[in-house]
Formats: sequence, C-alpha cells, structure tokens
Amino acid sequence: MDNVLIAREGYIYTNGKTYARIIRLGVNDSVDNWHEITEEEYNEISEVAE
Amino acid sequence: MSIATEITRLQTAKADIKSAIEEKGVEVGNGTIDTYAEKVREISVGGEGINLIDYCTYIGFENRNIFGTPEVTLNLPNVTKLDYLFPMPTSKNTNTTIEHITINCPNQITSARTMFGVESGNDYDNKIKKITLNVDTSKCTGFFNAFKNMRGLEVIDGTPLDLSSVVGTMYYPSLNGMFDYAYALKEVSFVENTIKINISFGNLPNLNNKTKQSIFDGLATVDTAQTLTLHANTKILQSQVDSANAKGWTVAGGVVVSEEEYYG
Repeated sequence: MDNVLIAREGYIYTNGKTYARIIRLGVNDSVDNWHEITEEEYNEISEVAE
Repeated sequence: MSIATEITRLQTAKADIKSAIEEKGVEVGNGTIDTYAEKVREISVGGEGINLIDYCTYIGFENRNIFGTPEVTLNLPNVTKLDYLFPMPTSKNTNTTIEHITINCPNQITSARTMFGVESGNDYDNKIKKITLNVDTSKCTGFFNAFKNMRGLEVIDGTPLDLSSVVGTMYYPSLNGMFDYAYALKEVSFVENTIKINISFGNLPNLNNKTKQSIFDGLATVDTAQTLTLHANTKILQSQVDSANAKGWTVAGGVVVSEEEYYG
C-alpha cells in the first residue's frame, strides 16, 4: 500500500516526535515527513526520554 | 476592625470548625481550639471520602502514609484543577497500600498536569491498579504526564475522558507523556471524536479490544497530520486503520491482523 512505510531491518521511522517501525500515513501526512534512524539511535533517545 | 469584632469572628470560626469535625463523626467536646488538629486526624478515611475544599497539590506525595486502606475516595467539591493531585514518589515507597483511588469532582476541570504520574525517574511504588475518575474533562486543556510511570495501573474508568479542549502540542499543556510507561494499562475510554492532537499508547502492549476501539472512535477529524502511536505488538484491524487515516490520522506502530485473530 502506498501509504504504508516499513523500516528496514535495524531501523526505525521517525518524524521527529514519533517513532515506530511501521507507519500508516493519514490523508494529511506525507512520506516526506518521515525518515529512518538506526535502532541504536532510537535506544539512545528512549533512554534520555525515560 | 475592633478587638471585640475580631473575637466574635474567631469564636464563630471555632464553632464552625467544631461543627465540621463533628459532621465527620468525631466528637470534639469542650476542649480548646488547640485540640482541634488532633480531632481532625481522628477523622477516618475511605467510606464517604475526604472532602478537599481547595485546589490541592501533592496531596498524595506528602500525605501518602495517612491512607492505610486499599480503597480511597477523594471528593473535590470546589476543585477545578487536578495538577499534581496524587503524584507518584520518585523512590520506592513500601508503605503505600492504596490499590484503587476514586475521584469525585462535580466541576469541569481545566488542568490535569501530572495528575497521578511522575515526570522523571524509573523506580516507583506501583500498587495502584485502578483509578475511577468521575470528572468532566471536557474543558481540560492538558494531561501532560497525567498517568506517566504508573506501572501497575490496569484500569482507568468512571467518566470517559473528553480530550476536546486539548489542542497544545508543546510540553504543556498537551497530551505529551499522558500514558508513558503505564505498561500494565488494559482499560481506558474516550468520548468519541474528542482526540485532536498527537497521542501515544506506544508503551502499552496490554490494551483490551474495547479500549482499542474507544481510541479509534475517540479520534476527531483533523485538518493537519496527527499521529496515533501504538505499541508495536498491539493488534488492530485494517478497518480501524482506514478509519483513522481517513480522519487525518497517521497510525504508527501496531500490527494489522484478521478479524479472527483480533477477536480471538
């Protein structure tokens, strides 16, 4: 499906605020708003947030 | 104001305090006002509840050990803000026995920042399993960290949460951190079409089907992209995703399954 983003193995999608492996875009959203980061980067961010 | 007037005022206040204490079942007798504080401490908790007449802060943190029963009811007749109402301690507190808290508030509250949660740290007393909120939240502008880190909490019931007045996205007021790390939560409900900004259930793998449907029904139609975040293992239906997407919501996380698997 065109509106579904699935991150590569070892990566997580983010739009700067939300993080997930699978993103199902709403009608107002765009793939341009999301980019991949590594799981290591995500874990570092999560530890700081908690 | 004359001395005589002041004396009369104080005598009236003393009589009022005595009446209020005796209404709670504690006999005051003819002791001086110096004895009244001890009489207040004799008032039993639970049952009809504790009446707090003003906006309260840190009632739970500072007075946690006075609640010796698993069930506690707080009646808040004049309160309009629930900020820091019952925040969790930032270190283990083995003296707390509360398992279920009921909040009765007849007013429309305007704020619920860190109502029960705690903003930082990672080691908490998590005996509280259930919160019953009999509260109108339709005018509440923020639930920042409202239930954050309540790691034993399983149920939030009472009046469904109305998030229609929460429109802020930066720190506070907002929905940021509202349910963060409340890992055990299974049940919470929302008023339909009242969720207007990003909301996350990303740490919550145990939501039941009724709650999941309430979340999707709770999403309002939005003009700018908003994101519903679910735990990676949260089972959802394609129809729920389609409904959310059509209303302008991006769904992050979750796993789409068949109806057979969803309903078990």
